Amino acid sequence: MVLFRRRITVIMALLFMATLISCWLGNDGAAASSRTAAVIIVIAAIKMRFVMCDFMEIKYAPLLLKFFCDAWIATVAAAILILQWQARIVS
Amino acid sequence: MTECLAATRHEAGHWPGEPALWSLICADMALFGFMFVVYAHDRAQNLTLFEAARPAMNQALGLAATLLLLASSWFIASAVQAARLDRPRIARFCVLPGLLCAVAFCVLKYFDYAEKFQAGITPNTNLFFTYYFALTGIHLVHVLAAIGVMSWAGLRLGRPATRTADFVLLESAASFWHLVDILWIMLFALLYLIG
Repeated sequence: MVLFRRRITVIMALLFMATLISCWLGNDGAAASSRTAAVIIVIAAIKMRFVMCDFMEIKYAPLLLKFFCDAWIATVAAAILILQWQARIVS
Repeated sequence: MTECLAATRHEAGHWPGEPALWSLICADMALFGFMFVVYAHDRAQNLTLFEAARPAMNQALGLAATLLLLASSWFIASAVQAARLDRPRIARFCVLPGLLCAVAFCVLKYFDYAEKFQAGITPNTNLFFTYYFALTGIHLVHVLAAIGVMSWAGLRLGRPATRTADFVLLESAASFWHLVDILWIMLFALLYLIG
């Protein structure tokens, strides 16, 4: 069926792979290192953007909404990464 | 049916769903974004405690829940695309497995919570688990709301004379559905993977 050969099917396969890679990185038995945690957060942010753009169809949305969604992902991910980095510096 | 396609076609500046609903979705995003940052702040202040709590998290259940929500999002996105292609029956066929994936997610959350309670872990155990139960609990309420709205949209799709309003309802329900998925992606990373 044409419907199931569309871009969103490729995106879903990539999201599945990214999830498995994240899980593998975060499942090393010990506490996640600063770098590993940062990679996991960045992968999560990329996954969120793919879901927004391709599943939620934000890529066709008005510019203001696109800007809000991108700014939200960037702000949340950056804040978490900075706090994560500060925590490692302090500890 | 041309009217339906015109109302849902891809063109620059197309709102995915009812524009008014987007004020609710944006407010929800802002609220969850704030909670994610507050969690990260408290984690930075109590790093040892949060990392010590991580082994109590069942990553296999978290992984399964994440894959279920991603699959459900794909089914719902496929439903919207089918509706746009003027195929309401295929759209309805896609909504059902999407709903089943979300119900399976709720069942997994039940087992996740049950496992914690059996291990004597409650929201009062420590700060990490206060966040765990609060964030996943609020998210679960969102999943249940999404199931309700999507069920309604799916039922309306099957009516003999599907109207433009039904497609807009489907798009609106789908936008809320994907929001639930997006929020879980970050919750999974924060709570299950980095602890």
